[in-house]
Formats: sequence, structure tokens, C-alpha cells
Amino acid sequence: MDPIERYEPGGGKQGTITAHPDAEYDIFVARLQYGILDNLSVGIGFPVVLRTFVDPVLGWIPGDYQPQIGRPYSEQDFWEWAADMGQGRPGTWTGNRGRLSDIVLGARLRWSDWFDAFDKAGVGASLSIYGAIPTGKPADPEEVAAVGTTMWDLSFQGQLSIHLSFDKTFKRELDDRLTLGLDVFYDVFFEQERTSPRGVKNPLLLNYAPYIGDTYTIDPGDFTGFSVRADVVPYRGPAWDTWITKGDVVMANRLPPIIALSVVYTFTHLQQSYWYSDYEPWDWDREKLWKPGYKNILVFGATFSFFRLGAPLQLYVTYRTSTLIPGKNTRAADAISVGLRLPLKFW
Amino acid sequence: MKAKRYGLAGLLAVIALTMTALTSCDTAQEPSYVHIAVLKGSAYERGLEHGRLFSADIKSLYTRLLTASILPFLNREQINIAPILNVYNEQKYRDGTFAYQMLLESGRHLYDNFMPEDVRQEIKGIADGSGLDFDKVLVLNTFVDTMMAFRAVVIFIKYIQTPHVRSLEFTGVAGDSVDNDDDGETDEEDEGVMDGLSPSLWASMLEVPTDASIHIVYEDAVLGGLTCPDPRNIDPIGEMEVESRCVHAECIRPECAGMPLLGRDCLNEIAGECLFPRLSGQCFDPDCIEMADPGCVDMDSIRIRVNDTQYVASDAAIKAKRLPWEGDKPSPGRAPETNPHRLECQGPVDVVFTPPDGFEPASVVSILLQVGDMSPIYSPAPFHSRYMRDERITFTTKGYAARTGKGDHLYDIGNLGVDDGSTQPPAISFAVRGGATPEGRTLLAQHFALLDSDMVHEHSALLVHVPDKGHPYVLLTWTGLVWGFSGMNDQGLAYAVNTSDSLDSPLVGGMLEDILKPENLMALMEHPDLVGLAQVLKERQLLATGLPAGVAGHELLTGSASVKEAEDFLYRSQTTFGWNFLLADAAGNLAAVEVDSAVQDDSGGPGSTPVQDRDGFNFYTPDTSDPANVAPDGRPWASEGPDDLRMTSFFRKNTLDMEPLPFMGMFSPIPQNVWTGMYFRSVRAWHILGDRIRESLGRIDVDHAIEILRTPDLVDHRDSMNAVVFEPAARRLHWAMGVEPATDAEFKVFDLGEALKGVAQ
Repeated sequence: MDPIERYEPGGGKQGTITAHPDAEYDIFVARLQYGILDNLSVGIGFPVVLRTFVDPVLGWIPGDYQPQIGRPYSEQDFWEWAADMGQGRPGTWTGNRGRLSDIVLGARLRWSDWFDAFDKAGVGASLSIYGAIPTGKPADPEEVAAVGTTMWDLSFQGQLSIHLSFDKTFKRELDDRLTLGLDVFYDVFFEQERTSPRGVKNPLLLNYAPYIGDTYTIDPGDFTGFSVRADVVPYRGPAWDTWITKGDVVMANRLPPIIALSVVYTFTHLQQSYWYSDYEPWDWDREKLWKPGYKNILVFGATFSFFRLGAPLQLYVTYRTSTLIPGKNTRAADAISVGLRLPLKFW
Repeated sequence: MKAKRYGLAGLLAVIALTMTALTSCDTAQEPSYVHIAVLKGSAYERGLEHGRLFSADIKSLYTRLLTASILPFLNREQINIAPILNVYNEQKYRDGTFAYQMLLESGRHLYDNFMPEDVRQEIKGIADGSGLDFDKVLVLNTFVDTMMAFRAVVIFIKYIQTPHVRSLEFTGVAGDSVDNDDDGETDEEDEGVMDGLSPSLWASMLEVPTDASIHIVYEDAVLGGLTCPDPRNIDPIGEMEVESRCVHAECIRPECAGMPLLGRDCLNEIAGECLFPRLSGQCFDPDCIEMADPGCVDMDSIRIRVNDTQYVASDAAIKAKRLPWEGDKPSPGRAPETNPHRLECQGPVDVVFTPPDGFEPASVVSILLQVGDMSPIYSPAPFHSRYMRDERITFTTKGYAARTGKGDHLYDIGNLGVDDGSTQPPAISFAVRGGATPEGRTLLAQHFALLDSDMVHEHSALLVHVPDKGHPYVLLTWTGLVWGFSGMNDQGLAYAVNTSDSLDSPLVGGMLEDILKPENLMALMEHPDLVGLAQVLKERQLLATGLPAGVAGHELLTGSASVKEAEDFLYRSQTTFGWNFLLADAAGNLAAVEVDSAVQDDSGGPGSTPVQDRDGFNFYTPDTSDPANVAPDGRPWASEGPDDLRMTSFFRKNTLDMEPLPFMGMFSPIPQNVWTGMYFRSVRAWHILGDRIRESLGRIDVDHAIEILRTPDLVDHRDSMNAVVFEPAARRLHWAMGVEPATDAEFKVFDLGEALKGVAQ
């Protein structure tokens, strides 16, 4: 957020409010994937935000000496002054408890299966498409520090996302212990209409509706980017003849390794986001904070698979960071995911 | 194998190209904050077009400046106003509506009684065109005049409650064989004495010995009344609560700790007729009644700044002691004073200031005096003591005249102080002609600064009006306003107006009218405190009267073709407040006109005689052949030569804008220079602007005028609103606005003549 310079009407600069907001999301995601064909699968994801906590982390840089009070405004002085004007100090915010985010539908086609050359080269290629159903909710417009649960708020992927992926395995050379992948993607965000705040809770900070109109539209910038990925198998583990493979050890040997590690680097280019309201300068005040930029995301993952031991279960943990390699004009987020996969066979 | 590699590389290249094509590098562009339009037709039609073109900007200006800034800011002052003007305790002024109601009532009063019909129609047109309520458009167009006068009243009320300098004396000057006070006598008994402070444009003392001390006596009046209650706690006819931190603990009876301490006596159930809040007799020691405003100077708050070095009470350079209380004299039948607070803290405070290494020899020294009292205020927040205005005096030290060859008289040395980093200059304007310029072109320049709040500049407008009747003109203004602080018409008449704080306003005039009624005077003499004043003013409302300054400028452009005609117009107009008009015309005439509301004028109203100085109207030009243009020191009022004139935001000639009325005691009105915080800022800018003009005489063309406007010491970085240089003869202007400060913007040319030709075609 831009620092906010505050002026007493006709009385000089009171000081500068700085804000370095910090938001925490706890999200539960249930994903169902279904393989229709050997090379075509579809899926659906239900992300539910368990809780969101936002701390605006406000600071204060004192301004001019104020003769009428015999000192420059301290932070406490300023917020006492603001309270007298009807504007309380924005505090932390907790919300979105059990609130659904946008439901994601997806389909993945491994089209390389149609070309022998890919198989011979140990290369797989797939095309994936994801679409979001707008079931998430935008932030309460009257709250200073609130955030919503839409894809735009989560800034994770677009409402329509297209991925073209390639992976190269090294079966012969490295005993299938290394897979390298490349993914290019384009994420589209559609225009969204939002309700303008009327200053019900924050009369001085969020009283926009009288001049920007009752609603405004955001045209979020699309994402473009690529990922490179390396999957390493440090420990394949034993292959038991269990019920899963009907006692077939050879088949058990083809099951996923017990421990697999992965590292993914993703470069995402962010296009300019645009605002459309009745008042162009207000639009600009937002647009200048959402200029084109990029983010560098690193994801470290570990998967623990128990198929080989007779348990149809995978546990995974990932750490995703976009603060390790700084980006530009982006809201850097770090996330830890812990998950469980349960494959089922229907016929 | 090679083919495969090429195939893969080709595929990746196609993907990369596709991604690049899809990836937009467009970046949002900052919009222009300057709105330019030519408005033609009747007043209503021009207003309508104005409103249609800039509807969202008008609503933005109203919401962000009024709703989110000025109104809540003024609402806070209800606490200072309502106890004295009891009308403002009424229900309709409660729940945060005080400021809006007060401004609206004043605006309606101006609209119904003083605004010309074309201005009314234009305001209606703007409301209809923009979709903003008429009342709000009216407030937007009138709030400046009401607010300035209101603010002056509030500052005055605060002023009488703060400490003051009773006397100031330079010790060590009585035997130095120098006429230090420039009164024609040397080493007289009171050579170094200043009774109180007479804020001055010039130095206060000359050739002060470097080892001199400054002896200051501060005092703080006991006004009674209450300073702490918060109007938000007022129950219409019930109890008013006050925080215990406002009252000395020893004044509260133990059984009342934590209970409301104040009550309002009501004669009936009409809230507005309740008496001024009083301390509850049961809970409060009556002897402690002054505790809410104990009239005590806070010795710990004493600060003295010498040029850029600050000394505080704990420094050895400052020796302060409290003198005995001088209040009630013992009288027969009356017990001697025993109240410990009166005895302990109400006495004057005597301060002797001696800089540790003496004053710098042969130099100009500027001193800033600051002190607060011991009556804490928690509303308006933040919690603070009452501080007197920072008072500035300047003097030279021994050897200065010998070293520099100047400084023989007080008026040789400006009281401009030093750049302390927080003193911002006010609005400034200057005009030059003939010999002051390289080609004899007349110029009028202004950098207007008053109230930007980091957003008004985003609503800047340059509007050309082509009315059905009267002269076409161009205004530098803001969206939604029918007026501006500068403009020029097709005749080449240009004006620039700056505020000039004054208590000579209709708001004060109305109060004086009430106070001066014989029965009220008697009542006030019986209760010479805030309670008495409140009784006298219980029905008084704050209503502006007269022609708002901007509207005066608007009318001046439509109806006048020369400086002389403009002077005549202003002379015959009743104005709302203190304003400084600077005028220039195509023929090279320049004039400065200082106006106020002339509430003390008893000559029969404004402009009843041929144009001449009168109460509320003072004018001057650079022509020193006319004695009216020469100050008492023999120099022109505000010129460095015969072809220049300048103004800032104080009265140079109208120095007694409000004549004190001694019989009113502490409630006597006072002249501008005594109370307004703008005074020293303006004086500093006035001197610096004079220096810049003097060193540029003969070279001031448009570029040089812009350079002067951009002088760092003359640029208000907080409340700059627009800047302009007019060329009246060429009907051209050079404007800069839309950024903060305005002078940081590129000055762009606007040719009024060409614009009007375009309209005609």
C-alpha cells in the first residue's frame, strides 16, 4: 500500500501513515480427479477458506510541528484526532470463516500419447484447462483491511487457465529417478463488478460511492508465465505384493516411489489491472498499485506414497514462496500446504 | 535426432511467440487533473454545462473536501463554539451535523441576500448539471468565506484562553549609548522594554549587546468556564460528563470519584435553553472551579528558539520562576486567599533567557517564543494543553549597522525569521510593469495556497466564460465553483485575491452588535467570563454577510474593464472577510486593495463616497507621488520601485482592521497581527518576495516571474493550489496546477483572445 500523507485542513502535514498489511489465509481444498481415458482426466476443486486474518500493520512518520498542540502529531495524537473526526484506527480483521472460494473445474489431456515420437524420446506433453465458477465472495467494501475469497483476491490463478506442459523422464539413463518438466500457461481474469463503499464503517477513509458511483468494475490483468520443474526420487522403497497389485510384484514396482521430492520455479508476468468507475482519478489511484509486474515463485515439495506398501495413500507437503526471489508490483505470498490423496478405482 | 531437436525447439518458439503476443505490456496512465472548458450562454446554461462536464469531479471535491475533511474538522469546534453561542446546542446541530448546518445556513443567507442573480443561476445550473444536491453545491460555493470567518472566531476564542506575553524586556541596553528601540531617545529608562508584544513587520530592537538577556513575563487569564467537556457526551437536558483527567484530583470529593462532574441547569425541556454547563456542586470543591481552566502557565512548556537553536525549560539558559498570584486583592470583610492552586500556579511566570554563549555579534537574530498553559483539552483531540501562538521577534546585535551599513532603523530589518522547515509560506501575489520588466509588459502573478488537503489540486479547472451579458473572462478555479481566486477578462483586467485573516467579519460583527447593547454590557460587566459572554450571545448565529471574495472577483471581471473600475466595484461592495486583491490591467495600472467587512464602520455603509480609504477598504499603488501610497516610514506600502506591487496574506495598510475596545476587557476584538497564525508566515513571505523582486527589477518577464513564484522559500508544499502569470495586454496567461505544489507543474500558455475567437467562429 502507498503511504498516506495526512494534512490538517489548512494546518500543515500531520504525518504519514504507513501500512505493510499482512494477510493469512487458512484454506481447505477438496479435489476430485477422475480419469475418463488413459490420457484424459477431469477434476473439480472446492477451496474453502477456513479463516482469514489481516493485520494492516500501520506505522506513522510524524509531520510538521503543530504550534497549537506544542508538538508534531504522534501516532496516538493522530488517531485521537481522527477518532474525533469520526474515523477510528483500522484494526486487525478476521473473517471469511468457512467461506467458499471459486470452485475450479479442470480437464487434462496428455496428447503426447498420440505420437510415438514423444514416447520414444521419453517426453510427455499435456494440455490442461481450468475454469473457475465465481462462488467466492469479494471483500466487504466497508472494511479497510478485509480481503475476499475470489480467485482475484487469492491471486493464485486466473478464472480461466490454460497450461501446456512437457516432461522428460530418464528411465534408462537414471533409472527413472529424475523428471524434468516445463509448463507454459496463460491465466485469464474476467471483468468483475464490485460495490462501492459508502463510508458506513470508515467515513473518512472509505467514502467513495458519492463520486465513483454505486458500483465499479475491475478488469484484472491476466497472468502469463512458465514453470520449470524437477522431480527427484531419492528413495523408491520396497514393492510388496499386496492387494493393490493383486500380488503382482512387477506391477508394484511400477507404483510411485515412497519418497519423491520436487522443486518448481515459476515466473509469472502480471499485466496491468484496470479500474472503471465514474471518476477516473480514483481509478488511477488503484491502477498505480497494480501496474504490470512479475513474481518469482519457488515451490519445494515432498510426497510420501504408500502404494508400494499396500496402502492407497499419498501424503504431500509443499512450501511455496514468492518472497525468496523478489518480484515487482506483486503481493508476495508464502504458503505451506499439507495434503492427502486417496485414489479409488471404479472399474 | 536433429530433426526432433529442431521440432522441439520450433514448438517452444511457437509457444513463446504465442505467449508474447498474448502478454500485454499496457500500463495505466495518470489522468490529467486540470479541466479546461469554454462555457457559453446564460449563467444557468454555463452552470449546467459545467455540471455536466465535470459531474464526478464536482462530487469528488464535495465528498473528499467537505464530507471527509472540512465538515468533520469543523464539527470538532462545536465544543468551543456551542458553550458561548448556545444556539449551536440545539438538536439540529447534533450528531455530527453542526458544521454542515452552520455552513448551509450561512450559504443560504449569502445566496438570498447578497449574491447577484447571474451567480445564483450559475450555481443552480451546476447543481442540475452535476446531479449533486443544490444545497451541497451552495455549500461548496460559499464555505470558504464562512469557514474563514468561523475559523477566525474559533482561533480568537482559543487565543483568549492561552498564555500571553505580558512584557518583554532586553536587559543591558539601557546604558549602551544606542537608540535601541529607534524612538529618537537614547538610553531612556524603558529603552529595552516592550509592553506585551506588538507583532511587527520589522525588527523590534537594534544593536542589542551580545551579552544581553531577555526578560519575559507570561500570564494566563482565568476565564472560568469549562474546557474539557465533550459535546458527544451531552445529554440534551441531562448530565454532561467530563473525564477526571481534566480536573485536579484534589478537587473531586472522594465519594464522587468516577461519577459525572458536570451538570447543566435547564429552565425547561428545551435543550437550547439550558444554561452553560456548570460544575456539579456536590462533587466538586467550589474553590476549585477554575481547575477546568486554571489560568496557569505551564513552566515546563517554555521554549525559546534563537534562529535555529531551540532551548527548553530544563536548559540552563532559561531561568523561570512563578511570581505571586495577583488576583483578588484582600478587602475588608474578605478572608485572604487560601486556595492552594491560585496561590501556587496562577501567578505570572517570570523568565530570564540568557544564551549560553551570548547572541551572535553583528547579526540579525530571530527569536521564537512558545509556551502552553495547564488547562488540558481532550476535545478536540488530541489531548493537549493550550499553546499560545508562536511569537517571533527580530533584533540586531551590536556591530550589525557598522558591519553592513544598514540597520539604523527598525524598518530596515524585516522580521522574517529563519527557515525552520515547518513554516510554510501563504498565498503570494505580485504585479510588475514598465521599468520592472524588460519590455514594459505588465504582469500579474500569483501562487495561491490555502487548503489543498492533498486532493483539491486534483480538481483544478481553467474555465472560460462567455456570458450573454458582461465581459467574457477566464477563471482559474476548481470543479463545481462559480468563482476563483484569480482571473482575467477580455478587456485585460486581471485580479488575484489572497485571504487575510480578520476578526472584522460579519460573524464577529453580529456578536459585537449583541455585546454592545447596553443591557448586555451591564450583564457582561457582572459576569466578565465565558459564562457571562454565553448569556449575552445565546441567540447569535454565525451567518456570513456580503459578497464572497470569489464572487466579487467573478462580478469584477464581468462588469469592469480597468483597475479603476475594479477599485470602484470593490469599494462599493460589502465583503465577507479579510481579503487582499491585487489588480492589473492592459494599460499597465496596478493596485492593491485590502478589504474586510467594516463591522466597526459607522459612515453609512460601503462605498457611500468617492473611492478613498475607509474602514474595511484600503488601497495603494506603487505611485509614491500620492501620499496615500506611502507608509509612515516614508516608503511605498509594498513596492521596491515605481513599477511593482506585492501582497501576501496579511494587511500591510489595513493594520487596524479591528480596533480594540478596551472596555470589553479580554473579550475585546484585536487586530489581525495579534492573533492569526498566518501573520508571521505572511510577513516572512512578504520580505522574501520583496527581496526577489528588488534583485530582479528590470528583468521580470514571464519566465522570471515564474522563477520568482518557484523560489523555494515562497512555495507552500502543503496547501499550494494553483499558480498563474497573467499578461493582461496580450490577454494571455501562463498557468500551473494539478500537482502539489502547483509550481512544480510546467507552466502552460492559455490565450484568452484565441479562445474567444474560436467561440465566435
